[in-house]
Amino acid sequence: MAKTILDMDVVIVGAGPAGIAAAVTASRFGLKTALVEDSPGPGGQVWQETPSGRPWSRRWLNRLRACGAQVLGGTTAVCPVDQRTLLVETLDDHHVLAWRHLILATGARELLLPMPGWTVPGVFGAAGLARLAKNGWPVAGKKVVVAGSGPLLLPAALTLKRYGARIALIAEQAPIGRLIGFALACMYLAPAKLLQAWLYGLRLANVRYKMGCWPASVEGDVCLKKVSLVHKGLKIAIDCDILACGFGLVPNLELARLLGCSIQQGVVCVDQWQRTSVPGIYAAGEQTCIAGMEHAILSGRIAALVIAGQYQEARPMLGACSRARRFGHALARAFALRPEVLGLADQETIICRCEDVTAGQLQPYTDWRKARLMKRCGMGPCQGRICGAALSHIKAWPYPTARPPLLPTRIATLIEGTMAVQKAANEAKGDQI
Amino acid sequence: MKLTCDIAIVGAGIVGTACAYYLAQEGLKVIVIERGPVGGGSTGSCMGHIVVLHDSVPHLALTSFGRQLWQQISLGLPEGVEYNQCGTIWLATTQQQIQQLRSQQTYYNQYGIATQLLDQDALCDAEPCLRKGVAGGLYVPDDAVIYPPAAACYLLAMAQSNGAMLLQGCQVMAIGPDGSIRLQGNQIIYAGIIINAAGCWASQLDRQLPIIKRKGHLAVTDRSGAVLRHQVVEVSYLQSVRQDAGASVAFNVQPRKTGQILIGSSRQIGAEGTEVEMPVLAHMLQRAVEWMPILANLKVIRAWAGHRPSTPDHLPMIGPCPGNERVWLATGHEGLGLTTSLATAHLIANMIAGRPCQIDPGPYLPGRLLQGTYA
Repeated sequence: MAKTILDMDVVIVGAGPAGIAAAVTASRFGLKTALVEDSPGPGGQVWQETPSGRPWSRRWLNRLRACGAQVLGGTTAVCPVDQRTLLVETLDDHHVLAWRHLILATGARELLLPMPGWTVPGVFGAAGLARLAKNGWPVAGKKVVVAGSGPLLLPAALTLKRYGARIALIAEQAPIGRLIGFALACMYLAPAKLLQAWLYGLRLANVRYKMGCWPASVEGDVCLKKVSLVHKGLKIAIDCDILACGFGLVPNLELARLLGCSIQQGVVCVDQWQRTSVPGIYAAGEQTCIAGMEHAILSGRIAALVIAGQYQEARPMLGACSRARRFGHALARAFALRPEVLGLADQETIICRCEDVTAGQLQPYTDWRKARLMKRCGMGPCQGRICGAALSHIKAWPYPTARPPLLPTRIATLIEGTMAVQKAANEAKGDQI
Repeated sequence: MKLTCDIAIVGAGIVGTACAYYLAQEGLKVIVIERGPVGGGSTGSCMGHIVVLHDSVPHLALTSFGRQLWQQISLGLPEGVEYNQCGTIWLATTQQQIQQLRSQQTYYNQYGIATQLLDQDALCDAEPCLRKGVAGGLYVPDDAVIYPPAAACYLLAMAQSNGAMLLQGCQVMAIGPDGSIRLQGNQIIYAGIIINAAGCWASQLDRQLPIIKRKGHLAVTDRSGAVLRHQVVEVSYLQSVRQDAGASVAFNVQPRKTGQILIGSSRQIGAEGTEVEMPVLAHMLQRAVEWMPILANLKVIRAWAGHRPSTPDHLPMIGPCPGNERVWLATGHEGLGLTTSLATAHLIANMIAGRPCQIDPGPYLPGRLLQGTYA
């Protein structure tokens, strides 16, 4: 059963701020645009629609609704079928999207680092738990330690607090000296962010916040009981119910890698117009630089304007976009991970959670290929998304090559999607004759 | 430093490590040279079946001997090797194919290979998820599947415990008729005998070797696949194997010990890269769904492609190069390297020691394909 192919001028993957801004902008110029998003609705990790959504995000979501772009929610990118098509899958169906321009706006995910006990129920990603709480996961009355690194710990803690969690401690691994330097840099690069951080600080005023402090291990069997942290060379143990722990963000590069886009220093390489190394493919947002929402919106708009040929309108944004990227670089320097947090795992600590591979089992191996071949590391359903990011930090292993499908995909999808593309190609050939 | 040894094996795939396994047992000083991971070439991307194949008499002899040797060591294999004697079921749809299975059975009986014919009902009991109306099958109970790279690692580790040495990360630049091997960086190793077990890459060491790469695709499902009990192959698989041009697919699925289903197979000539080609993958998967409709709703977690090292007559090259008794070949096993690795190594060990072999090595001697080229 070969289905028809959806012909699009612009296909955008990822409906976070970058993807939404790109879709709204592209639609303004009459470009037929489709926006593909894993989650049921648009918004991404930061603009997810909730009753308490902020006016800014609501405004963009309203613009998206009004702009005429086709939003494909609950839809996962599987792989390209040929050079100009993308196969996507939904809960019970699939589509082939043919594109003239492709914008990758797949965003970033939390970096989770293995430590003894991190697989015990009760250990969550910090931003992940905040998102779960917004969707009704019960945190009320739970005693939570928020730990790890990066500016996202604060809004995560605030969200958890808003939903009734008791925040025992926020532990930031970066040392205080570097954070002061970062705050000074922000005065010039992103004063609004500084204000935002200060507001978070006010609202979390009665919560303990320690800098130069990081989690070292987790205790508990059926569920988490105690978290041990290190601060000023001393161990602190805190009895709690939940550890919400994220060590910053890592870009989602799987699709870019599969499409052959050049990737350097952990991000997709783009020029000032957000063009990747592959003609017709653009990238915007966090996968080009972890620099926050303003950068995501700007880069998404620039990519769409370039596609529409509106360089006049894009040019004035370049300065702000580059300033936002400088903010991103300052952010990366300030919250760079200390070697201690990269070496928390002991021999028994599981690194690959899909295939239960421990740090001890990985010790003899020097690269991904060997670890995969011998221990199945990274060969489970997540295809190395968790352990791959961790190992690229811990062992500096480059990511393995990407292969289709990007995520577990129904066999019917792979067959029918490919056949649809072949059929269309044959018909096109027939027309020429 | 001058490195000398009795035997230098180029390539730590399943064939090279099997050679090391037997030769080190003989007390010979063995060095294995591998540029990549152990079992990282065809071994790391293949299906891992240990099957008797009846394509020709020499095939049957080598595969059944190989399977017998695997069976002998199977009890000592570590869990990670995932040896699973699940048996093979060959499927027939037409009366003509049933007839084919009958003659296959007679043929197997002559060689003492256990088989059982399954009628439509028996087949349905054995593999309930096959599509209805498959005419019958031939069950070969002693066939097995294995996780190939772990098997290569095990064989190498056993060889190492008998004194063999592994030089890993070393690219062989040239091999000389005097038994010298020049490595990248100009280190030279002198060996009494060099065994070229470099699989698809054997012809990089000797341009005259007629090794043809046959690309194959595979896909593996997630762990929800408890719908298969045996390795299942369609009879026309053999036609696919013999095909010498273009791309062909055949239904071949395996239950893995992990609860996953491994789905094959495809054959292409003239496809150099190992990138996954969607049209071939989709074609192969569709063939699988035609036989086992339930597969359509299972999820593929990974697909990949690799190469089989084949020869013009589809038989491996095992033994000394004509005109140069110091350079031996153990390559060209196509899709049967796993099955025949131990048999290959056994033949080589016996030939080197000057002992009689358990099966006639004649059909596999490289001279048949290299006549004249080594004068």
